[in-house]
Amino acid sequence: MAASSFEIERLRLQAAGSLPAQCFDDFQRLSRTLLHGPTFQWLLVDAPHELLRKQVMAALDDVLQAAGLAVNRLPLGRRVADVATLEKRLLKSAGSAAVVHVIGRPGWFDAAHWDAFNVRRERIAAEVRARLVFWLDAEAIALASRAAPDIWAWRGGVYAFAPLAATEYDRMEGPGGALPFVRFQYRHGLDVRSMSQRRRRIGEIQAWLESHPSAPDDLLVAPLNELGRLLYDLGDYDAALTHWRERELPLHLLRGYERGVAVTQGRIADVLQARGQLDEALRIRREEQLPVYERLGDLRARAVTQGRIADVLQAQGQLEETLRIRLEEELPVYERLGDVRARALTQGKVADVLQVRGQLDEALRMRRDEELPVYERLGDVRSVAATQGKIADVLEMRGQLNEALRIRREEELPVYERLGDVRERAVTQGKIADVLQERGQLDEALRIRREEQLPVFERLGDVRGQAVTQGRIADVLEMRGQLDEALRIRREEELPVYERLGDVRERAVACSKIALQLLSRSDSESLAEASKLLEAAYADLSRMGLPEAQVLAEQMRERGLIVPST
Amino acid sequence: MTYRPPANILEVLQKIEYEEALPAGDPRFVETQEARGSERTFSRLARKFGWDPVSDAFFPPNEKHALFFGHIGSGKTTELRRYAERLNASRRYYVVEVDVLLKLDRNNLQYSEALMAMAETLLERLLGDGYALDDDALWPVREWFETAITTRSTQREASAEIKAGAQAGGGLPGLVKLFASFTAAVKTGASQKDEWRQQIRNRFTTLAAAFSQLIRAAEAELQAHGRAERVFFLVDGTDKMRGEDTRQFFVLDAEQLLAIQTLAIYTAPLHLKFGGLLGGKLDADMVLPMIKLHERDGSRCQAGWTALTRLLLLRADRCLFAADAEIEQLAEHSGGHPRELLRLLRLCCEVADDLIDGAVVQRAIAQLAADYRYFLRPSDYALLVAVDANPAQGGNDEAAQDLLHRLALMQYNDGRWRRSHPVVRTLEGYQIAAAALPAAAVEPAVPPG
Repeated sequence: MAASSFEIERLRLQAAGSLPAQCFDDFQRLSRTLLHGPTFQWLLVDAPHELLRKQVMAALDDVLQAAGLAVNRLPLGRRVADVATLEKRLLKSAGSAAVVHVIGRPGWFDAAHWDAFNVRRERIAAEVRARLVFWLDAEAIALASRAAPDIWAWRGGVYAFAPLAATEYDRMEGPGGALPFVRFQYRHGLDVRSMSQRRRRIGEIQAWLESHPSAPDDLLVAPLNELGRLLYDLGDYDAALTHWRERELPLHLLRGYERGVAVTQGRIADVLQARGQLDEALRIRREEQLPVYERLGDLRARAVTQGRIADVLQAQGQLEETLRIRLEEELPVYERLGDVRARALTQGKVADVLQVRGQLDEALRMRRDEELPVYERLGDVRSVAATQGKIADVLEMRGQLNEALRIRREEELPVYERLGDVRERAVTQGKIADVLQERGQLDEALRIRREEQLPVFERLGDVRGQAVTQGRIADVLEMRGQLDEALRIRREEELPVYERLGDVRERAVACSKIALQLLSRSDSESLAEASKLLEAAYADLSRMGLPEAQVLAEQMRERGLIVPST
Repeated sequence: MTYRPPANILEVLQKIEYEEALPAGDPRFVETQEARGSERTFSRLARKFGWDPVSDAFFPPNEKHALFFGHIGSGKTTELRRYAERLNASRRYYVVEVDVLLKLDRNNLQYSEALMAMAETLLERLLGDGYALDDDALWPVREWFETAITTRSTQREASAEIKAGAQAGGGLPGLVKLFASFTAAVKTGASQKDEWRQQIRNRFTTLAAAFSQLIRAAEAELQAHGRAERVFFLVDGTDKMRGEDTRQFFVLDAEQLLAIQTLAIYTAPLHLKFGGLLGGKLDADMVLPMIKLHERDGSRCQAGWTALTRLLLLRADRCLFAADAEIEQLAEHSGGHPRELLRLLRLCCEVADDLIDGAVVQRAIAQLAADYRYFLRPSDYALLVAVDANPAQGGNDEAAQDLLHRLALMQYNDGRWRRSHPVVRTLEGYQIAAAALPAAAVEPAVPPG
């Protein structure tokens, strides 16, 4: 028997709340139209990620079943070879259900299949009296609109469920990421649980651990692993570090599980690296991780660790050694393993180095000839967009601002929009603003930072992104002569965030900018503060061995200040 | 009983169905002729077929096959049903509505099946309305079938259904059964369809003459009863055939349609009109224009606002809207397209708690805009911006036709000017393209709708 309207509404809200936050709105829309819309509907759902799709579908089915609406699933597997068969199966499925989930697989709905579906649609509408929910990906949906415009006009609605977590994961693993000072995405499978579910899970694991103090070691491995991952994902780095150092590492040592020790050490190094503790991170990679993987003969893990070491060296300006590692330690391994994607990623990193060394033509050639075709062949639209972004970076450095701007707007931005990747979209907007700023279009640059970037980072709860954007806003204000407001932003909006995150490099850069501005004042108090900030910033940057230390030293000398010896 | 629009958000949602055109007499129908700038569309159509609705003068052509173009979902079927009602009421015409999509498999539809469906529907109507035709009148068509079946039987076994139909007896009921068995046979079997097509093609002149003779006999019967003077076919669904079939039907096989001596109007996709393929064989003047919210010069077209407001308020009670401003916003962002207005209303119903206020409307607009983002490319935005800058142009190249077909571009006043869909103009891609357009290329700004 169907539940009461009140109960169904409560269930619907509960189900929406159980999903990752970004799914809430579209789940509400989709469930409402299924519950209350007409008997026949044709709905398109853009849900490319299998895990998330299953999660949304399960939540939906709970609500539908409570409302007394029977549900059938019709996967487009090998048995459904063509649209004629699909039509028959739809008819059959609708005979016993009010809602039919048609689960597409990539590529099934090509132009010919859409065309064939289109010519049957009136008959399907007349004979299949059910709500048909087509679970597809953005590509199949775009193809429907291109190949069969009249079926597109017939759609009841389009709903999108994109995993934010996957977005981050891909970004960090993709060609745009893996810089040493951004947060490392913990390399595990996609976790589509909502934040509140994850918090609840932390509580459950901790309670279980407390109530089972003498549980056998083997039984502790999985919950401890999950707990560390959850703490990291929720941004509680201190707790994650403590957990890995004091619980997980000793457990692996006790069990004599060498690989587990190396992997956990790697996670600790990731956090230290993100926080600017580069020497310790390097030591761990070289002394704790590499020898283990060498002993185990794990070529891939060794190459990945070498890559992490190279990331740090690159940031420190040790370009020759970085290049050597990429070319001699990483690339040959991926080639031998036949891992074309990892090979392309590494080539992209080689191009990064060439770019820093000013070998722009060669960097551009590598991106266009070596990297891009691989992602295109793999159908990896995100990496294609990210590589296009890198190409735009080079063009920008060569002063080809119009072409760089065109690429950002026409090649990068639409991809992120289509993927629903709001964060990358905001980042790309920021790069567009950089160009505008460079051209002197300060008002527009400021507008983008304030209206397009900042709200996105706020919505995502990305405090670091907010702080970086605030810093860029302060840059523009400084250029416009609004020095007091720029100073206020750096002190109140930017700096406290880096301090809280323990991001030493960003803190040093922000401090140096504050100091350089204070130097323009004539009062002794400002001058004293400036000098103190510059010394501290220089010390931090030098300690980390970053090339920014030399730039700062130069700026200090230009202003007649003494560069402290470190 | 007086019709009352639903006053509950969920009830509104439940009653929005895009795939069904309003039947004649539906209380939700809104007269849109003035709003479309096509007050004369019906009288132009009637005159094409020989009747002046004002003076009731009547002199029909021997045969006339005309096309009726319009955007997908712009209300062609609903509008044609209203026309059919008026034409029937004139007692000059006996309107036979043929929905080829219901009768036939739209996949791979050709003139041969369409003609057979027209004949079948005519016979069904006559039978249903209690008219009888004598065997002499029916004989040519029956004879055509019998010869075809004999020919087929010498080649291979004819289908059981057709044989059964042929043995179904005489008179109108027998012939109706024969046609019904034919449409059933070609709908289910691809090989049957091909063979029958071959038969029809080989002996088309005989069939065309027989069909025309049947129509004449039906008209004589209708005249004798004072019901009507001419049979008028209203063929719907032909605007929804797939691309290659559309070309085959309206372009390559147009001569075969013209061979049937009757009055007929066929729905046709708008892009066909501007593709330059028709070559003047079929009458291709009639376009159902969009409802206008603004004139070409940007001034407000009050009739459009009134019609869309009425349309909206017949679907959702006024009490569901926080203010008139929300109604106006929805109308404006529909671009004058009834289905797009309903789509916006549906989106509002999906997100509203119990009231459609400004925030709900903004979300609906953003959501509809997001749908367009799935297929629009940077070059599309550039073209849309160029058309908006100079609505009288826009070209008839493939890109423009494509955008018209997918509603990103809308056409007003029988195609005299075009504008992009208002929701598309809210997209960043459009705004970027607009910013890139040289100022000199932009005409004085016109309002969004």
